[in-house]
Amino acid sequence: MNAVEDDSQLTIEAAHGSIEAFEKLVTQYEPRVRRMIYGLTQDVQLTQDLCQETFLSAYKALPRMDGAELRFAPWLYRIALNQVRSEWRRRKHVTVIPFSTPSGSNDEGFDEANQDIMMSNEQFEEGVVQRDLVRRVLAQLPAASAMCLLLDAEGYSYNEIASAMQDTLSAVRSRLARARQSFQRIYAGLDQEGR
Amino acid sequence: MKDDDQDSYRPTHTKSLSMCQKSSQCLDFVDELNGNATQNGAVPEDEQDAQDLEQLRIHVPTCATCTATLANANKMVAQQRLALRMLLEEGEQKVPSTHTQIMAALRQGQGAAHKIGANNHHEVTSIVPFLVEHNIETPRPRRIRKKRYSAFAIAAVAAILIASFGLFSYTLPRHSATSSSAAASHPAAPTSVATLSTSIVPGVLSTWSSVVIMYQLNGTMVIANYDPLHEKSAVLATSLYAETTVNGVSHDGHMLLYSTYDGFRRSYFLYPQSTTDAFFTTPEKGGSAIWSTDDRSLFINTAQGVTQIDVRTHHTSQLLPTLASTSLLNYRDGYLYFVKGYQGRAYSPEGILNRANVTTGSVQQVTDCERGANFWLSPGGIRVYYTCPTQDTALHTVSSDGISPVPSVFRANTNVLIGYRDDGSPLTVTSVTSRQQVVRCSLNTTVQDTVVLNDIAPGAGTLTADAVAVAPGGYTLVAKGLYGTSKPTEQFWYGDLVTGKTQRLLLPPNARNVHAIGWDRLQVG
Repeated sequence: MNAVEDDSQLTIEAAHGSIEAFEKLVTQYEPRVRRMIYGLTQDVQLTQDLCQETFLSAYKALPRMDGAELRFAPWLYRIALNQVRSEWRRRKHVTVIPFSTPSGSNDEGFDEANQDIMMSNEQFEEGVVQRDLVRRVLAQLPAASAMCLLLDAEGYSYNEIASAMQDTLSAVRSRLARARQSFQRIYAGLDQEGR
Repeated sequence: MKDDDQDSYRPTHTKSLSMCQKSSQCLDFVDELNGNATQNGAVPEDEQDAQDLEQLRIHVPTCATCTATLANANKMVAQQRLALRMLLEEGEQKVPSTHTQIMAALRQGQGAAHKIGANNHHEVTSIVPFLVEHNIETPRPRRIRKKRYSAFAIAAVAAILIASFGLFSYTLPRHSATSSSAAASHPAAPTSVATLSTSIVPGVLSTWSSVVIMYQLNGTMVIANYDPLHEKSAVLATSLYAETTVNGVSHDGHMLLYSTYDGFRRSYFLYPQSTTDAFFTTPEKGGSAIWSTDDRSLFINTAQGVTQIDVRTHHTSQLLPTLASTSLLNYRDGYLYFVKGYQGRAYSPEGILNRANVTTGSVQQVTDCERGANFWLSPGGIRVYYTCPTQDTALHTVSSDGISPVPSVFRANTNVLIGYRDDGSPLTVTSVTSRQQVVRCSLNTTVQDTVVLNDIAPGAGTLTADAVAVAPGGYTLVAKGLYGTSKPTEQFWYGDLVTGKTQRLLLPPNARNVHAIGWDRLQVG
């Protein structure tokens, strides 16, 4: 996925203060950033908070950036990841009662309205089980690894991921390989537990 | 996931093949070797990587082990990507867009950037896609988090602590049948106005014997009154709007304030006076509402400021525009206690607690923690308890005027305040090994704290604080625990804070996402 070329003009205009240009970038990237953050947090409200803060931070920072050189998408993801990391750091000092499980049970356990209707659909059920396992796997991976996997799944190139992660290409390649193996191992373990 | 898919997720081995030292490198360069360099991989940026890749390209076709490893890795990567994409897509559907809020914030200027309520902690806004076709909104996962805060907020609990959580009653019989019938008899699709059905026949009791609960049943939000000792319940109202909020029970336990958001406006309803027609509407999703101490007025905060509404006449008056979009927590002795949201967030329960003199409009800052939370006003109204999670895990206290006594630590490692005993001693939940104990904190420094309930939800993996409701007087409570991690089930418990005994409770069949709002004095059945 290479959105840089398409975004370059919008980025330049947004860096010069054009809200209209920035809105087009929001239109294009807000869904992706939103689902990426949700993939990392599994928390609807928090995702909304961080998504909003990501774009507001981006808009605030854009005038200080060189719009012509800036690769908007990786830069935006970098901001989003920093938001998530900051939130997690903050929460390390917050948790007193384990209100939710690492799998994000506060979200996933009870929000499937009319689930009974869907339960007859075997495919749906299997999908739910798989997604639940996947999100539990992600919750057990380091944030950077989870981010790498999600960006890769989104179709971003290694270069773009490296840019977003502020890391070298080699490091991203290694991290991704390790993350995939860890994913596989944790998934298999959880899957086995559930049988 | 199908069995064959599940199998494919397990680590892949090539046990029948000989080992090859380059196999691990194949995994590092799987995308490049797979020809995905332009899409997912990249041309190595350093010389060593480039050499390794070149060697692998020559080696792999000649090595059965690496060929098999690469094939397995390709399959694994493809499946992982597919699974992750599905998760991402689900997330995009589950979390409402923040586009509008972002742009509104930008257009209003940087200073107001966070005043737009994309993240109203009092709301639930998620829509499950398959329900959209039927125009039914479902409650959001976020509900739990929101309730976690609100359940411990002074506002929501003015009712609990002063002995006031109440609704009025109704005569609908038993829970399962009533719940189901109420949902089934409801109109199929909501209109632009709140779609509610109610079934109420007032019957006020002298004791606090039942609890207002809200839960989801087949896509419908159900507000019910539940008698834990007799394990019976009756539906008070149903709503097809996911963003249905129970704002609070009156102090006398006889009335209930709740609201719905239909995508255009928030409508407030009041039992038993205004159950079919909203007595107040505001063209925004957010808002916070509390009862006056004497239950004669309601204070509803909007983006325009606070509106005071006479419960009997519905006469309204505007006050305190400076409090716009803040979270109202309590009204006491002429002061409105409110939270200025952290970083200007609208209606956020986290931030700095202030109080405003309703007559003069003067505002006093009560707490100094930038991101304070879990605010509770003491029963006598002279002290505030709160936590400052960004600072420590202590339970802090300060005078309600924020001046004297100055802020201090009430308990260094005490957890969440859940209510008060009738002598004013705070009741807290403290995590001890795998148990969540209810501790009665002594106000006398010479008297030790006492554990009044050893395990609030026996065997629970997690305790959802959103569903802990202490009865006025502090002698009983109900609490929700979560069991299991994959797809946790909910279980409610009744706790006797005198005998220390717990009792598992039955809930309406198929009820999901159950929240205990607070105790009331309404007859059930």
